[in-house]
Amino acid sequence: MGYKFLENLSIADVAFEVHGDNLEEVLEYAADALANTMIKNPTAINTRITREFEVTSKDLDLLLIRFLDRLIFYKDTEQLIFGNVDVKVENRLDSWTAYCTAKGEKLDPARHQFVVDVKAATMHLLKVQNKGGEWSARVVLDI
Amino acid sequence: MKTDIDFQEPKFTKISDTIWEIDKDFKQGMRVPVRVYATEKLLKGMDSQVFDQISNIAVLPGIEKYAFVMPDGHSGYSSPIGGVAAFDVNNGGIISPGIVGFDINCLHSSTRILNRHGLWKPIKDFDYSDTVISLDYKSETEKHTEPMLILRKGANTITKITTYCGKNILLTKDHPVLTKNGMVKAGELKEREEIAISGFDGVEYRNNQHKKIVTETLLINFMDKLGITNEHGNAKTQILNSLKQRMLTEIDSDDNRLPILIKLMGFVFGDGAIVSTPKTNTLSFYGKKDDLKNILMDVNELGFKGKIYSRPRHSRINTAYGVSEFDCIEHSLHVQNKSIIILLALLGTPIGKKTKIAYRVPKWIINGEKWMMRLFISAYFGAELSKPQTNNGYNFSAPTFSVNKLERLERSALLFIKDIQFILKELGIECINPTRVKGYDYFGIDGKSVGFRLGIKSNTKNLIKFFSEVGYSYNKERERLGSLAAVYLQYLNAVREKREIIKRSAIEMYTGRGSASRIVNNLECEEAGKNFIYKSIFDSRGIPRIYGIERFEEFCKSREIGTSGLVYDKIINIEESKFDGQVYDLSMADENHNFLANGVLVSNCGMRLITTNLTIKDIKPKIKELTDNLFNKVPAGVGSKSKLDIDKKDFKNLSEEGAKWAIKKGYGWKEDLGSTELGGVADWADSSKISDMAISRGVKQIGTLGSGNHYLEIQYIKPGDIKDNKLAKKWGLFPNQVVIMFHTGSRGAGHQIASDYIQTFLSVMESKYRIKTQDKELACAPFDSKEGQDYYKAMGCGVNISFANRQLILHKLREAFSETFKKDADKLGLEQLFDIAHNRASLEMHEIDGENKKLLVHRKGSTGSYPRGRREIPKRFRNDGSPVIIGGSMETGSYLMVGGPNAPQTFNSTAHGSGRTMSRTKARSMVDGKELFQKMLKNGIYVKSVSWSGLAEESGASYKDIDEVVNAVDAAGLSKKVCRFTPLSNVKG
Repeated sequence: MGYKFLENLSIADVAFEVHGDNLEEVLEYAADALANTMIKNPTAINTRITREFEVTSKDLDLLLIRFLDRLIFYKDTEQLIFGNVDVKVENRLDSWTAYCTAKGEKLDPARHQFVVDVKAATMHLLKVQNKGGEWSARVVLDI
Repeated sequence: MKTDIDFQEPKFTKISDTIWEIDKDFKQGMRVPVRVYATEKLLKGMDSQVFDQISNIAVLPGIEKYAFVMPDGHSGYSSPIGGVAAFDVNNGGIISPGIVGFDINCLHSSTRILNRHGLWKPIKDFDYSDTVISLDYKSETEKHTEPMLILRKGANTITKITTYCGKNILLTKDHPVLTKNGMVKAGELKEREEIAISGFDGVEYRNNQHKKIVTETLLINFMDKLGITNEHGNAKTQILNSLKQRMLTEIDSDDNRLPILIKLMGFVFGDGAIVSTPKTNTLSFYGKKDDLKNILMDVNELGFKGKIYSRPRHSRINTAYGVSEFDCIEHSLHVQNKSIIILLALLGTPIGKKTKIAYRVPKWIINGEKWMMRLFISAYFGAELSKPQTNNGYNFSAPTFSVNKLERLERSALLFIKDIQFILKELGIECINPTRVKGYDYFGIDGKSVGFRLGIKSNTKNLIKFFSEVGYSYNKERERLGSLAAVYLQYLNAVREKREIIKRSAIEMYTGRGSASRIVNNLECEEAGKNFIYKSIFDSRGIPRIYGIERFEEFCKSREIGTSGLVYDKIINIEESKFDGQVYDLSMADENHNFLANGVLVSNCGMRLITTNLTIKDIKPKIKELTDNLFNKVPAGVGSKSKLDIDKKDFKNLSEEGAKWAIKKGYGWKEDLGSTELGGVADWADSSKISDMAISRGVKQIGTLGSGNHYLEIQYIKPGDIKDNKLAKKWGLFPNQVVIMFHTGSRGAGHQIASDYIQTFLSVMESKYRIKTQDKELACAPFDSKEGQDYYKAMGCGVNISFANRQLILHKLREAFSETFKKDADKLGLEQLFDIAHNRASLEMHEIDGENKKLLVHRKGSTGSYPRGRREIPKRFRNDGSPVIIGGSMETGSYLMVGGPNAPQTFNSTAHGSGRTMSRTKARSMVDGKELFQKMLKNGIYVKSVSWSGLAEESGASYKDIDEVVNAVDAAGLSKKVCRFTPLSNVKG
């Protein structure tokens, strides 16, 4: 369980696949993949700053996109990168809500080995699915 | 190429060596086939995801002809990069009731359309660079406008309208014509109804011989002759550079600035002067304030500045008739720039006091095209020729002008006047032979001067030809009177003709033993009163005289529309006939309606190219210092933060005003806007349509380069890498020259706008508009829906943010250069050559199967490539075609190209770069960033980057061969090579 970058897909951008035991894990691993797309050594991220937020959607694909977009938003507006994101998902009536606690710090070129900036998470080829109890998703990030 | 998902492999049909087609059957729902522009090698190198992505575009409603992939095509998300698609306005029933028509109502192909210089072209040859004269309804004055659309279609019938004064026009029934009751369709017009006409026709703007008028060599030789050198300072180089910046060192006979130059010259030969002394270099014009304003507009169009002064003057002159004294306000326009003086002098304009020197009309004008002659003398006449006036209200006096010179230059004065006489003869106009006029003798401080006069023969036919085809320029009052005089004289002719017929009828009837009073009663009409008819019967000598009808002054008063010089004239005949051919129209259309496939374009990235007057020798020793300085000034990389302190309100203004906002705030030069597409502003933008999240991201990121394939590169032109010498020279490029190219876009704000609207579209696309897409990222909405309109306005903001971002970076770049070289940026010649977005939707007119349609052309990672003449091209390049900037990988090189002849095949689109061939993830695992840095340094390329991995992703090996890509678009004729640039250093995020 975890994430894997796809070498031969969307070659101008970055594609990855995540697998998890539940929806929460899918979102959490996707957050890790996002951080790892931007910096080479995500383990170097200190978790001294916390941001709590929630995203809601009727559609699981969109839930994942809104979640990633929010993390990108913190990166662009506060230069924050997160090393640990904790997610709780609730399914109420016909919509999903993810309650998120993201821990990280300001980007620091001295300690974080920059790779490439992510502009957005896209819906291209996006698929969040549950097959035989295993959750997975495929995401293409716009570089 | 293998991918992580199994995409279906298409079958290709070879159309030519560089065009391959995928059939509509490839994927269900495809409305059009796909065409890939590539060599066989490039085609084989493309991954199959590209074809899957482009075929998803081919499914979208309203798509026209083909979905295209350019040779640099590679997979991204939604549309492939290098993808082009155009969507038709009238498709799918989504046209709003409020659509502003460009109903195709047309004129016959031979219809003459007058441009603002008083030259005409048949409408079929009209292009977007031509400015049309039109009537401003509100102020009832003439104004100059550029056509938005040039339309063409087939027609079965055509209507011919003839007016009393002899004007003919051929048009389709639905073409509107201006009447006293507003615009009325030709089919609804009736005889005797009055329509607006102009007396001025001009001469044809056609170049039979294509000649070089100005070249750099001619300029250099001319300056040598004048003794302008680089010995004390660098005067010669400065003049050349000043002209180069304005692209005035190479001028051909078909250059659209030549008419302006000729007019300026003509006026200077009359009421102007060039003073060139070690202390001052001034080009001056004297005249009425409004006319000087028009001259100034033309001076500005050439890229020069000038100022109009007004001062009271007391004059005292000695003439043969005695001393004359008078007070007046003298208005003058002064242009203080030596380079325009050198240019005009090279073209044959006299320098110094004209009474004291000998000169002729320049030979190239005398031997040139008719339009050149007309422009020269009409501007000269605007200054010198007497105004149209009658001696008895009906008959016009001969217009005259005189030339005065010192007595010793008597012969020169006569020769000049004979040159003018020769030109008039060439234009079909007769003159009274020049005469020496004693009364023009003048005794000034330089001694006695003598005068010669030339008159234009005053017979009606000659004057009609003169006023309708030559007339005046730079003199609004005389232009207006000339045009009115032409109509009035034609009116007199029509009256005479009618009287002649009545006279003949009267005589015939009388000799047939009719009663004189009955004949008079029968024949009496507007043109022929009782007296005239009686006189015809009993005194039939000579041609009918003109009296008893409106005099010129009354005619103007009763018929002129405002002060436009246009008049209302009666229709005397309407004839409909069968017709089988093309008809044309010029139209000023408003925004139109279409599908916006949002996901196709998001970031509005673009390229900006800056030239310098530095050579590789100048820059080599400083390259590291300069690049480091640039790196410090322009934030780049992951999470890079803006150094600009602006608030959300400022940012909203920025998103509506684009590069103009930056210029207003002092970040750049005004001229930068003239070399940016759309003039640096998408004027349809509305910041209330973008979310607070987008604004927050924008505020923090404006003025940053970003990362990925965004870069700033210093490059140079290797000797031998200039492929189009003429154009390179004209655009200010030379061997060993240093240039700067950079690539960035609207940053996070643009992506936020796209993300926001994709989600909006997804929520309404199927339920409300019944549109299905294969890929959620391709979410779209009809253009005229609220959602579509909102997004269009928001996208305008994205385009503006991208223009402003590149403008701010250019400002920082000028600072860095200036600090490193300890010289002002303008002294280093840091001029912007061009800025063009390659991720943008553009509303454009295109011909589809013989019919002109307005399309929304989506280009994702594809550059607009417009062949010469298109109105999308900024004016300074319109004669050449649009510059196309193609950025290659940081290890190889980049290109400058120009819009090619076959660009309309792909809706004026071409490649935008070399295109990736290996994914970022793969490149990172295969290339070591540090090793790459060392290797590049060894090859003479210094890179400053925040990230070794990021560097590895952008290695040359990750990209296709730029030369192969460029050769493919060149061979396909989409764009043509101008020159290649070799990298020297690179700032990477």
